[in-house]
Amino acid sequence: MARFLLRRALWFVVTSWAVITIAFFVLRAAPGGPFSGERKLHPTVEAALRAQYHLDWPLWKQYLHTLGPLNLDERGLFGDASDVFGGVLALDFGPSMQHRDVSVNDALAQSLPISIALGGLALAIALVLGLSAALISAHAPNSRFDRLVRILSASGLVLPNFVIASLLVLVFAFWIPIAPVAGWGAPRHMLLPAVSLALPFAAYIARLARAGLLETLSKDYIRTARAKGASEARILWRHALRGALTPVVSYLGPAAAGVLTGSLVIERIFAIPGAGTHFVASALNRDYTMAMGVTVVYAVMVFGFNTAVDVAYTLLDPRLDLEREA
Amino acid sequence: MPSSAPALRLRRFVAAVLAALVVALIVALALRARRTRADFVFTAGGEVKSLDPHAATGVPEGRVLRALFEGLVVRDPVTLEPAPGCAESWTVSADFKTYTFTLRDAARWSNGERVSAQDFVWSWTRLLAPQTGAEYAAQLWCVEGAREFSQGLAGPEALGLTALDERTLEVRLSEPQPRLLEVLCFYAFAPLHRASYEAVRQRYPATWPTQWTRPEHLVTNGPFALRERRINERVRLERSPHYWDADGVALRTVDMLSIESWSSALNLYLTGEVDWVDGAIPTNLVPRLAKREDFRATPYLGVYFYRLNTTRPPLDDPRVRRALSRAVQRAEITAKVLKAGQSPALSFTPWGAIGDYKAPSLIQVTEAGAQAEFQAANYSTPKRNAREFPAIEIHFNTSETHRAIAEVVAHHWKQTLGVKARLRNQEWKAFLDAQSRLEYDVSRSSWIADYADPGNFLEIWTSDNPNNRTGWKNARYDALIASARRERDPARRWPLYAQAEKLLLDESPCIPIYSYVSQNLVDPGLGGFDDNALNEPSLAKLYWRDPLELDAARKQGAAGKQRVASHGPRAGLRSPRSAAQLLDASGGAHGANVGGER
Amino acid sequence: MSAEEQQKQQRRAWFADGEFELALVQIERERPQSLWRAARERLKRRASVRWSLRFLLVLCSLSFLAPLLPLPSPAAIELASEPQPPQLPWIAPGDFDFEPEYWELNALDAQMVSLRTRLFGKWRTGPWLGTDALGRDVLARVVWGSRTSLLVALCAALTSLVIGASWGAVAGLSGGRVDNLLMRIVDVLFAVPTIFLVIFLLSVLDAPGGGEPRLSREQIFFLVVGAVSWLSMARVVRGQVLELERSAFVEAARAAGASTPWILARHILPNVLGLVVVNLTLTLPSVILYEAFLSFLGLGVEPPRVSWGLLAAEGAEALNPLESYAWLVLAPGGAMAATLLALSTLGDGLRDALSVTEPR
Repeated sequence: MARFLLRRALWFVVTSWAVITIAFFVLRAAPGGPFSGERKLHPTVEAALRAQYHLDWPLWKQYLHTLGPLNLDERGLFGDASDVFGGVLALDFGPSMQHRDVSVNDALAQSLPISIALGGLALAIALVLGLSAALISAHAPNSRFDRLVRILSASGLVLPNFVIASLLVLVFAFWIPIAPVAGWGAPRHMLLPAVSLALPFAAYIARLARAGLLETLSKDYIRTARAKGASEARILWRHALRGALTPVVSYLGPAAAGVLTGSLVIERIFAIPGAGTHFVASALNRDYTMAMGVTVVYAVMVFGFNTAVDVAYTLLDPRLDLEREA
Repeated sequence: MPSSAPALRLRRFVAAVLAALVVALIVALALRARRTRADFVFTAGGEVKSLDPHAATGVPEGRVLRALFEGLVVRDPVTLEPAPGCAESWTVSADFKTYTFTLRDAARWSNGERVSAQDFVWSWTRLLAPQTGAEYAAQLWCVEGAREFSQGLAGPEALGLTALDERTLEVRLSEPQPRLLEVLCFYAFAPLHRASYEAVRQRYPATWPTQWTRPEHLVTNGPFALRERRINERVRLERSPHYWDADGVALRTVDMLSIESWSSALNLYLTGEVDWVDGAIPTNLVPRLAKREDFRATPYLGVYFYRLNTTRPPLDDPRVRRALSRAVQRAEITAKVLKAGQSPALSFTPWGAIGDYKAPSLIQVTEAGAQAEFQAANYSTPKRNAREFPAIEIHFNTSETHRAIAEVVAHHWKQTLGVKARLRNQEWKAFLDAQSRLEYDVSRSSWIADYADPGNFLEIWTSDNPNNRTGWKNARYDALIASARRERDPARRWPLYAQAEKLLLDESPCIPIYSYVSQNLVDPGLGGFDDNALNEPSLAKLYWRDPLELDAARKQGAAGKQRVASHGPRAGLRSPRSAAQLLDASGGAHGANVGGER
Repeated sequence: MSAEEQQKQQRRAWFADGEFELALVQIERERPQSLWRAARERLKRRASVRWSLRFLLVLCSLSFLAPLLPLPSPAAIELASEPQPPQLPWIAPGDFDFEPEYWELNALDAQMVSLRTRLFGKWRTGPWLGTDALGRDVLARVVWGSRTSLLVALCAALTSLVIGASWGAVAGLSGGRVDNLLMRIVDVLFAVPTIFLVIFLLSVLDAPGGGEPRLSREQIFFLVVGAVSWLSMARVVRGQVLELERSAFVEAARAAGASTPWILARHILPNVLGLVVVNLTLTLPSVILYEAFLSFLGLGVEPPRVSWGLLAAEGAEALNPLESYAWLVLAPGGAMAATLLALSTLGDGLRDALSVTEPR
């Protein structure tokens, strides 16, 4: 296990370097810059601003500057510690270029916990809803009830989330006023956004788990268990669920990384100050520093969850040997 | 089958994951202190760019910065004329080159210190310093030595700013600037507190730019102080007890929510969680909202127009540009697309008038006129065959309303002139990039004024103005604008601007389409909300009406409007001073109402 | 004597006379003629799959034949004061001047439009699904919008198939370093926030400034969606190929001396194909939804063209408690929901039909 994790960590370094490099050059290649606006800045002012964020440097120098805590100003690579202006290696992304008096670290530190709380709740709802739907449905496959569950679970996947969210607001905030329309601060504010975030995932989980359950149920050891007279519920819960969880877990890995870093659509509709907004806004505003911050956060999340998934596999299927797999 | 070890491990794992989720949830929720609703809550589009008055630009920034800081002069919320702010009086020399301000004796920072003339000298020096990168620095370049200092050619020693004593500030200009007071009303010219700023700078040598505007560090001199700022969520302001007119401020706390989506803002407003919403209302809702008493549409100092790229044939021909301009039926756009009372723009200055100024000649929108211009340029019209006009493209940034307007304009051009116009929407930054590189035929634009003066609109069309972006250059126009700048007396200024505007409309590097209206949804219980052409009500003057006053106001207001309930138990929240006056006047008869705070 | 013959001889020894031949016949009878024929049989048995297929066929042909239908133009503006709710009548040739306004159509579509004027004259449907704020007919917009959405889906399907499946297959079959390299590239692309790539592709492929764009905006859009949708296919295919390589029956075939091409064609391809088809039916909905997301951000198709995503985004924006213009969101939402439901039903059916171990 330790060797596996070490290898993973090495890969993580290489891959995130690649991700950061791609993100860096892709955004710089897109036209427009952080300081263009409906009112054009005076050339002197724009030059001053660009100098302040080192955008007047050649690209390679900006790139190195973004990567690490290097002082490339005058005194060479590693200057006076107090002059060193962050960098990915120092985990200091510097000030945002769009919101100039806010540091990217602060912005992420404020928004990520919100997204994680909301995303965590949504995942929990999705798991509970999805797995129970799958269990009920697999209990009597192709029954009328199974079909109903399948249609319901499919319908979570057929509407864009902004439509689902808008409908939920209309119904549960105005017609049946049980939840606040938008905002953030009290636990009840999480209700509608978490549900609208969870529905598509619940639907997906239900589909995956149902298929997994049915496949496991056709395995020999289940037949053995049946032959021994175990109750159907016990078979489903004790034995089949484990097999059914494998596809769910491998789906949940990347999905969780996405959910926990926030969803722009849900955040915009419910006015939630989460991290999803930063992903899209930084790209649209060419906020290079913020973009770098979210890229790193996302890469860490994706890798963290992928590794967690692989570890989870060993728990689900003891025959797997990570040392060999890696 | 007994539960095997792996199954046990599995269940433990699942349980652990779920437990972790729940714990994370509880921790995240518990970390947030419970917050009470502010006395007044409003939404202002997206997150503010900065709370540094020198770095900020834009409307939401202005709302909060005018509440936090107070410059020498402030705009009167009704007339928009400069009124005493931090300065109680001033004298102007006859040649408009020396301004002397006397500060209020009672002007205080939010930490209780006196606001001094030196504070202004230091703040404006910071504003002008090249490394600050302040957008509005150029507006102060009329100060002696400012332009050179700002461009890094000279030091700050030669600046024409002197603190004669603690309360007297002398500003010497290198050229006459009769409109300096209007300029100074802008929030960028507010003072900053030097000692606290420099203390933060010393304490955080690397990160001070992102530290000094935090609530715990920022010292302000306006009616409100910064209490809390959460990115993309809210800015909370609190009445500053040291403000010289603290007794005249009713609201104790104010929240500005950052909400991108107008629908969400509307939903919050309808449930009483927000008291004031402004912004671009989806056009299909406008007729519905216009019936309500809380919907207020007021002419706004802004113009929506199309730029024409005068460096590209066939648009390099003024006859073609005039023809395109005269073919756009603005009235149809304002009446059927926008619907909120915007007025068709037939001149570049909004509504053809600002104050006493009247635009000289308005664009004559007629089919025949447009076709005549087109034929003069020897292009085909639906009525006469000649050269074929090449297809042109209308650029706009992605938005439902921009698209609708572009579609209607393209339709008019096709009908009247037989011009084929393609629409092209672009993502915002790419759109701006193409516009400033002159890589477009026709490009959507708008201009919002900083103060009510025709010059503020017409100056963008001078040859070297970075906001020109059409490639249009006209020496006579530049000369007219330059001489108008030097005049204080409107009787002499207006004719110069009028000549310039006539020239502009003749040459038509732009097609004005409509003049804006501000569209506010304001809780009817809110008092002191002055509609003005900059949509800048003063937060310091807002208060909550008690029911009697609300009734009285409703009787005065326009009849036939749909009544809307005022939200919340905040009725009767008045400033300490006016509350005392009311109590005196009524002998305390409805004191319960007056003092009734929630 | 060949090894096979030897084996046969051995096995024959286990049976009594004649029984072996009988068993062979029985096996022959029970073995389906081919995987595909069996799958088709199983598919046919399910009503839901039949209906989904029919629906999708009708949808595709409606969408293809949109210019031929007597619909109002999806782009023509009739400025009314408010969106009109659905009404049923046909609009007879009246005083209005019917000159269909479209964007630049390709030759085939233009032909169809002129054929339609010959067929139906000035007759057209009334606002069966209502009109939007600019007086455009919602039904026409939904039908024309289906073209964009289906094309986007088709495009993503093709990229998934061509790039994704072959990428995964190559990785799985080669194994070792090649596999590692290819999958790390996929990992990297997975970890780059998609929106960055979308904005980059949209702005870089778009002609800078006014001139003729190198690609039409729609083509760019298809490319963008394709570029971000093949990754999961690559992963799934690779995983399946790896699993099959290790599976008992492939090992058995290998032990029995079967050649690699034989194993590929006989054992791996059929099994992977099933998965690919199933995965496709899952990719299509997610791509259609992604298109909607981009439209929500305002990065969708170029107006006056329409797509379901754009219509749904407009409709959702128009939903409000004062005046819910419900038809604006229900029409595109319903179309989307029905299509995606059909696609996922079809996917379920295909998976069940193609899976080697048939579920109960």
